[in-house]
Amino acid sequence: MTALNVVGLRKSYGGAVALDGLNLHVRPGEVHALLGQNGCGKSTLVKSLTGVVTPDEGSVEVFGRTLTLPVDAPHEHGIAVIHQDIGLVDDMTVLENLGANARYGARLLAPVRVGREKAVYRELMNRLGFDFPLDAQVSTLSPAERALLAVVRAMRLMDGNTDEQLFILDEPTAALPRPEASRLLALMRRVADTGAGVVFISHRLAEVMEVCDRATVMRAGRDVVEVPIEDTSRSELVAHMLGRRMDDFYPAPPGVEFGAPRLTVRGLTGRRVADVDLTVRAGEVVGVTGLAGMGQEELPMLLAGDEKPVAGTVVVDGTELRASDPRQAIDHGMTLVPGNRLRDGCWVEGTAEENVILPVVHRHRRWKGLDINAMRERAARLMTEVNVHPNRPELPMSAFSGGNQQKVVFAKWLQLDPKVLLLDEPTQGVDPGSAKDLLADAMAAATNSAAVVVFSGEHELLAAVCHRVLVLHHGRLIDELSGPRLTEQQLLEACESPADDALLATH
Amino acid sequence: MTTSTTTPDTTLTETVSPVTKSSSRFDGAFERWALVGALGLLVLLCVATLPQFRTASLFTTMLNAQSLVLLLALTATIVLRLGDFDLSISQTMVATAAIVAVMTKNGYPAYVAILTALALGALVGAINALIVVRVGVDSFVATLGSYTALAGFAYLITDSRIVAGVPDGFVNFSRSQLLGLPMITWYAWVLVVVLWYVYQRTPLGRYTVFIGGNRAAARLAGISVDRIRTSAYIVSGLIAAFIGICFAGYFGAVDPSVGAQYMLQPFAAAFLGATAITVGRFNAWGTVAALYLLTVGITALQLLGAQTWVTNVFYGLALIVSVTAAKLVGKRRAGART
Repeated sequence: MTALNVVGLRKSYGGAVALDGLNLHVRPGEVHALLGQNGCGKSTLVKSLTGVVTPDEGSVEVFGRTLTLPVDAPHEHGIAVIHQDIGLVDDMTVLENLGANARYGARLLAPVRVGREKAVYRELMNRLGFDFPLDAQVSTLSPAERALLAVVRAMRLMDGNTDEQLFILDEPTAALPRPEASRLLALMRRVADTGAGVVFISHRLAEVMEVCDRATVMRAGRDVVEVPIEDTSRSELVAHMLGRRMDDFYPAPPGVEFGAPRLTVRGLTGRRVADVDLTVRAGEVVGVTGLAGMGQEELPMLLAGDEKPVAGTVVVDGTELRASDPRQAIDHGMTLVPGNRLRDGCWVEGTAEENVILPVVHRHRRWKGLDINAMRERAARLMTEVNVHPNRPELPMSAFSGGNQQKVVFAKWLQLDPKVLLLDEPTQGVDPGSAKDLLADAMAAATNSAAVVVFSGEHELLAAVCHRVLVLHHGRLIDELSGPRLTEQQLLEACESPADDALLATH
Repeated sequence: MTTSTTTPDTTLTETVSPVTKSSSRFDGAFERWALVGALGLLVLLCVATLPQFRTASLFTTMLNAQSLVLLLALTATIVLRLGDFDLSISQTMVATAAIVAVMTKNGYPAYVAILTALALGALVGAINALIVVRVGVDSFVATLGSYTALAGFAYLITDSRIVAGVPDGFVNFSRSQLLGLPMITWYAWVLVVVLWYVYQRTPLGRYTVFIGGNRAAARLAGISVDRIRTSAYIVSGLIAAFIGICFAGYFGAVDPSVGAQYMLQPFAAAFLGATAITVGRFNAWGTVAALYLLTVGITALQLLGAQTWVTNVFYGLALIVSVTAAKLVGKRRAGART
C-alpha cells in the first residue's frame, strides 16, 4: 500500500499548463522529498491535495482510499499540510492561535481550560526543543518563530493517532536557521517512523540529503525522476530540477581589494540587539548569523531605519543617518531586501512594474505626467537583467513564483547602485538556480564597490559567499569567523555553543 | 536506481508562465470596460423602452442632480486609495454648508464664511489624521466618530432648523450655467480630471496606491507614508468643505439633517468604480462610470413607478455587489499563480 498515490494529475490555468500528468508515490514510514524549481507545479500539487485547486484529470489515493476531486475536507482523509506561515492571526496570542484548530468537539461551548492547554503546548514545544511565551502576540514573533508555531499547531493535529495519515510539509524550514531546522527534521523522521507518509518540500538540498528516504524531482509540471536518496547526489538532483548541470550552488565572494568603510555602525541597540559595532568596507561581503531570536531578524530593520534604535549610530559613507528614516537611508545609498517578502518586500497585488519602478518613479516625471512607456521599458529591462520569468511587467506579483518575486525585489534595489546592500534571508524559499542568480547579482554589486551584508541562518550559504561572518548571541556580536575558520560546521558550533571567552565578554 | 544527467532544457520556464498573453489581454480589456459597457447598454435599453429617456433634459437633470454625490465619491477615493476610510466627508459637507448659511445670515462677509468653512474642513481632516495616522485607531471607527460628531455640530450651529436665504453669490457659484450645465457639474468634472492626473500620471499616484497595497513595503521603500496619509485626510476635509460651500449655494438653504442621505452613495460609487478602468484600484473615471450607472438605474426604476425607498435599496445592494465584484476580481487575479 502507498501512503499517497498520485497518478496522471493534470491542471492548466487558461492556456498555461501547471501540472502535466504528474505521478507521485509516497510509502508509509518514509520521508519523501518533492523537489523542483519555483514555478514547476509543486504548489499546484499541494493545492490539488488540499482542495484549493480542482485538477483537470488524474487520480489521488491516500492509503488505498481513492479521493473524489476536488478534495473536500482534507484533514478528514488524513491529509495535513504544514505551510511555512499559513493561517496565523497576527493580533492574537500564540495560545489563541494554537487553539484555533484544536478539536473541542462537544465541548465547544465549555470554558477553555487555559492551564491544561498551556501544559499540552509546553510539552509539544519541549519535544521540539524550544520555548516561547504562549501569551505573546504573534505579530511580535520573527519569521523563524512563526514557522515553529505553525509546526507546533500541526503537531497538535498529529498528536495521538498518526497512522494512516499523510503530512505535507511545504518548505517548513525555509525561515529557520540551521539548528532549529535540524530539530524539525528530526521530528519529521519521528513522525514517519510511526508509519505516516511525510512529503517534504524544500529547496535546501542539504536537509533533503540528511533526512529523506526518497525524492521525486518535478520539472514543468511532470515528475522527471524518482530516486532513493542514497543513490543520488545534490548536484544530480539539481541537474534534474534545472534540466542542466550547475557546477556550484553559490557564487564566490569577489576577490577585489576592499576600499574605504562604507557602513560603520557603533553601539547600535534595539529591542533585541545591544551594542552592535560593525564596519563593512567597499567590496566586502559580511555575513551576520545567529539562532532564532538572537537578534539577526531585528538588525536589518534597525539599519534600514524601519525601527527606532534605543542608542547607537549608523554611518554610511561618512554621513550619520537620522534614526528611523528609511528614506534617508535609501538616499544615502543603503537599501534593504527584507526577509519577509510578502510583508515588507513587495506589494503582491501590484504589478511587477509598479513594484520594481517604485524607488525611481519620480525620475520619470515629465510636464504632462509620468512617462508610462519609459517606465514599462525600464521595468522590462530591469527584469531581463535579473532574469525574471516570465518577463511581463504588467502581471501582478502574485502571478510570479517566489524566486521570481524575489528577483523583482532585488531588481528594485539594484537599479539604485547601492553603496550598502543589506540582504535579509535573500534566498528564502528560492530554488537553487534562482538562488545562485540572486547571489551572483549581490556579488556583482560588491565588485562594483558596494558593501554587502547578508543576514541569514543558512550557514552553508554564508560560508560560501562571505568574506567574514559575525555571530549574534542574545543580541550581541560575540564572534567573527573568516579565512579557514569560515566553514559551515564552525558557524554552526559558534551559534550553538559559543566559546566561553566570547560569552564572558558579553556579560 | 541511479539516474543520469538529463538533457538541457532552457525553455521550460517559459512554458509554465501562469497565463497566456492573449487570454490575459482579453480578460484585462473585459474587466476594464465591463462597467462602461453596462452603462452604455443600460442607457440604450432605457432609451429604447422609456420615452422620457429620449429627451436631452432628462440627461442634464441626471447629471446635475448627481454632481454633489460625484464630488463626494471622488473625494472618498482620495483616502480609500491609501487603504483607509474617511466616512466623515458627507457630514463635513453639511457642517460647512451650515456654517456658510448661518454666518452669511448673521451678516458676516462671504469671504469670512468661506475661509471659516475651509478652515473647518482642514481641521476635521487634521483631527482624523491625528487619530488614525498618529494614534493608529482603525480609520473606519475613527471617521465614523467624526461623522457623528459633525452631525451634532451641524444641528448645534443651525439650532436644529433649516437655514434658508443663502446669498445669491453662493447660488450663482453653484448654479450659473456654462454650456447648459450648472457650475457644480463642471467642478465635479474638473475634480475628475485632476484626480485622474494625480492617480495615473504622477509619482504621488503610484505612492498612494502602493501605500494602500502594502504600507510596510511602502515605508521600507522610502515613501513618507505617514505624511502622505495625513495630507490625504486634510485634502479630503478641504474638498469636503468646498463641496459644502457648493451645497449651500446649490440648494440655497441648509437642512442639518441631510448628511445621512449622502453617506453611502459616494462609497457605493467609489467601490463599484474600483472594478473598472484601472481594475482593483480606486480611480477617477471608474467612479464616474459607476455613479452614472447607478443614477441611470435609479432614474429608470423611478420612471417605471418605483417608490423613493427603492433608491436606498438600490444603493445598498449596489454597494454589496460592487465590493463582492471587487473581491472576486482580486481573487481571480491572485489565483493566476501556479
